[in-house]
Amino acid sequence: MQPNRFYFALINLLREAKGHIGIAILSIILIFFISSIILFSNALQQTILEALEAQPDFVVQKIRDEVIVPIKKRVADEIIEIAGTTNISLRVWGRYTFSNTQKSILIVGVDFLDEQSHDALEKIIKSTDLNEFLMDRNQIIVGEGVAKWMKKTKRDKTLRVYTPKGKAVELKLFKVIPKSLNLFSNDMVIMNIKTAQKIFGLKRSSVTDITFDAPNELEWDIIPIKVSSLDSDLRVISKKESYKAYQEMFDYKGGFFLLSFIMVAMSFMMLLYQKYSQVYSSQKRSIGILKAIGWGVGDVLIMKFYETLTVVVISFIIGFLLAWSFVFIFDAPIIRDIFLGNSNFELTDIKLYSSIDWFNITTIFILFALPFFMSVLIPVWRVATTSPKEAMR
Amino acid sequence: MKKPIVTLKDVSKIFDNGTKALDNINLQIFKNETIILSGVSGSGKTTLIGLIAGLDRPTEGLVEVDGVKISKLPQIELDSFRQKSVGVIFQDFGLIEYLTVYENIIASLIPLRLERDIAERRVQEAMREANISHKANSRVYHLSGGEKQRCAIARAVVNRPNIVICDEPTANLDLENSKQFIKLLNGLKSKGHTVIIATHDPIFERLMPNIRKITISNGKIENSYG
Amino acid sequence: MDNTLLHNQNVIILFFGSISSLIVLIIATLLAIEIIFNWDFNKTDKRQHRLEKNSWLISTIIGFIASIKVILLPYFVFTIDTLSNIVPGAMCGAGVISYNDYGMKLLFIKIVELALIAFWLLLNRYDIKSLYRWIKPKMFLLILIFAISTIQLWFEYHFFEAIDIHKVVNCCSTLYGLLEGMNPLPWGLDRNLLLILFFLLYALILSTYLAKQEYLFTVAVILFSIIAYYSVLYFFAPYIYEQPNHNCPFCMMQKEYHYVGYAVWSLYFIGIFLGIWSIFAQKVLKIDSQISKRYSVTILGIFILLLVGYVLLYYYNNHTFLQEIKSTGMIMDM
Ligand SMILES: Nc1ncnc2c1ncn2[C@@H]1O[C@H](COP(=O)(O)OP(=O)(O)OP(=O)(O)O)[C@@H](O)[C@H]1O
Ligand SMILES: [Mg+2]
Repeated sequence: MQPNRFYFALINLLREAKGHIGIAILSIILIFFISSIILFSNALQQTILEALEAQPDFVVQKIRDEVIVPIKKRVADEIIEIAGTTNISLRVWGRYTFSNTQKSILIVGVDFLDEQSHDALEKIIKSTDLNEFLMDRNQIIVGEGVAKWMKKTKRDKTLRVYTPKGKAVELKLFKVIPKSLNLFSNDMVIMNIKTAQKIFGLKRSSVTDITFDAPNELEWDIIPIKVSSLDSDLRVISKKESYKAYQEMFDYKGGFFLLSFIMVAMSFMMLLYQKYSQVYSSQKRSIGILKAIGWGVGDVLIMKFYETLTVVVISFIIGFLLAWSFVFIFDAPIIRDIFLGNSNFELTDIKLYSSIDWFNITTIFILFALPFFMSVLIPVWRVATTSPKEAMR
Repeated sequence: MKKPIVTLKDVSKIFDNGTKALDNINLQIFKNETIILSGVSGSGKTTLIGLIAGLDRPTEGLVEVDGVKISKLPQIELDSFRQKSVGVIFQDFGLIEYLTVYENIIASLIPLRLERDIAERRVQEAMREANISHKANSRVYHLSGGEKQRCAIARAVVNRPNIVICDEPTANLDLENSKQFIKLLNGLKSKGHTVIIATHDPIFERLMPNIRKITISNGKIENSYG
Repeated sequence: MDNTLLHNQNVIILFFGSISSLIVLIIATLLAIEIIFNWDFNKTDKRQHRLEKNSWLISTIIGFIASIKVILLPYFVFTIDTLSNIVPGAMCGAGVISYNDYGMKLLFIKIVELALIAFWLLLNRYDIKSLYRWIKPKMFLLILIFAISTIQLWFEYHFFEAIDIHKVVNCCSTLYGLLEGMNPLPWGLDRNLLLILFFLLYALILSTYLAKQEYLFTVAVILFSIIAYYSVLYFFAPYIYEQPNHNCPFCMMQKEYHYVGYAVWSLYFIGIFLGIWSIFAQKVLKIDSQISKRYSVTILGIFILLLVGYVLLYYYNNHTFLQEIKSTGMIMDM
């Protein structure tokens, strides 16, 4: 390679390696930190949103005095009448808390004879011998979290719950939901709708929610209004709403994190400013010599720009790759606990979608490179305008 | 021959701390001339050279070099003036110690944005001229004083300046190396460079007879023969 | 949790970029003001020397800002596009950006700002070569850039602050669709005439470039910038989308269309920008600008090839060209 300004930039870098390595390590740590969190939260968000995709478009519940009350089955027939609705099905859906351990499970009662709209459930049932499952009403399909917890208890194949009247129901483990569907199903217990009705003390003619789809998105705004007009107590939750609620939650957490990171970045900038002022002032003489032999301010500026860019790009690549492997290969041990640890059954086995998202990468790059370049602006300019007189010292 | 390439008119230089290093200097140096600038330590030789080489500006007066009134030039013009017109061999050589000889030399071609092979050829030529080719890839801090000197010469001539200025070139050399250096200087002279040597080493007067000598003391020109 | 987007990750990054560049721009502007008042090139005193040094800091800062803005402009567009997932009714950036009055203006200001910064850098290059002949106009331009950046930030704040992600907005087919009885094209043109004009104007640019006809070149570039915009929307976009009445300038920036919109619009803006710059350089700076003209003509040429490529691809796949569906009041697509 014939020397050019980039070549001299590299030589300078190697020459001042000690000063730069300190900065690079600090940068790598910072990038690792932000990248891991951004990568993890975005992958989690992606995973959740994708899981949401499989949910029915709308869920109808009946609300009275702000609590969910049983809804009559015949409401479903009225919903069918509304143009544009399909895949209407009944569901008993609710939390059951074990009084002794305070653990709670999500009971999902499904009418297996009904046309299924729940893609995720369909998948599980398909992979199972449906007939065998249906033979016993008390058989259950449980999420990974529940299964693990059951193993720890004495009776590892059964789960005893009580109806509101105090009658015990012995649930028998039939199958564990595969890991790939883990996100929502972790604390889920799927059973026959009749068993679920019994556990929650519902009448045969009542369920907790009715779900349905509306294939034409343009009608999504009108249909809930039509459904609500059937009965003023009905509440319609659209998939888009929950999608948005999640998105908002992630936005909120992510935004909060970003703002705190920007605070950290400020102190990082001060540090960079000082460090680079120091490194560059030690280069005064050699820059002075370059100026004396004809280098202009622009030439030095460009050389220093290359220097900075090299440090930025190298630290970025290393930090990002470390974070990527931390999140997607080593499954982000600590961050996982922070994000998911406090849920009911620990969501430790979620398989995250690992994708390279350029938008994310740009976000992280801007977040890091911008303060970096900003803090070296003045030191770089100062050294570039070094007087050639320095060569005579 | 009577065409001045360097003209100083009423030039004074007062440093920030109040030191008056040059006091009302008037001087003309002609094309293809070799002159000696002599004077005791602290008399102002280096300061004068700095003004001629465009490294600094006078407090007062006019400096015209190679047809350019450099005392009036803005910094940016001074940069390109240095690229083209002068080559300086500094008192302590002014080499970048951690670069190799080759890198030091090619550094002064970088602002010219020459094509690769032209630059390469020029560097090789300059190194040959200064007899330093064999050390091309050694780092400067490994070199002896004489080798550093020759490296500095190669760098000073590589962008083919009209004027080559040497500041105390023999101060760190033994007799043998000094003689060699003078031989090199004679070579430069025969190639049409104007050479200015600041020194108080009598060897120049011995080995370069008929040379114009300007003596400066306390920032003033005392006499000027030739 | 409130409804605004001010805590959205990408929006925060946008503000971070805008605010940071505004901060360094303040430094540059203060230095510029000093230069405007005190610059005297004939002096070689300390102050003048310092001003010369400061002018280098200014160019460093503008170079820095330029690189931020070059990244942030597409980032902004992309952000707008992702927001269309959470703003109800919006199918692409068009819906989000038309959410309130600020959106379109903000985008426009951002483009103008970037163009002015690029303009400044080119002028700066030339100014340094010509020994600061344009230093004062350059510094005034800098103050203008500062003002625009400030307005930009203000608009950005108001735009995002006002977006309520629970309010339904229009989608692009309502915004850019061909409504019944309404001709969105300027000067009563129809599609065919538009297309003919489009190619004719490019031919004019090309020939005036070759013949060095300054005034005609100017006129051609300006007319082309208008005609090309409409041609993309109402002739070429449907080929990109493979839907006869889809005329949205934003959808083509989505993944489904391989982000080709970024290429289309960058080529368009850079080509026009260089055309205008070369006219300016020729007329005002009095320098030969054939080279920047050549770049302009080449880039616009690539722009056209890209668009024509889509038409040919469609023809190759379907053995027919798209027929405009005369709309019947119903909006057909989506
Ligand atoms: N940057 C400076 N600031 C203040 N005083 C200076 C500066 N540079 C040189 N001087 C002073 O100016 C005077 C002339 O110095 P100069 O270096 O020109 O002498 P010289 O003839 O080159 O001496 P030597 O033979 O030792 O190299 C000296 O008194 C020196 O102390
Ligand atoms: Mg000296």
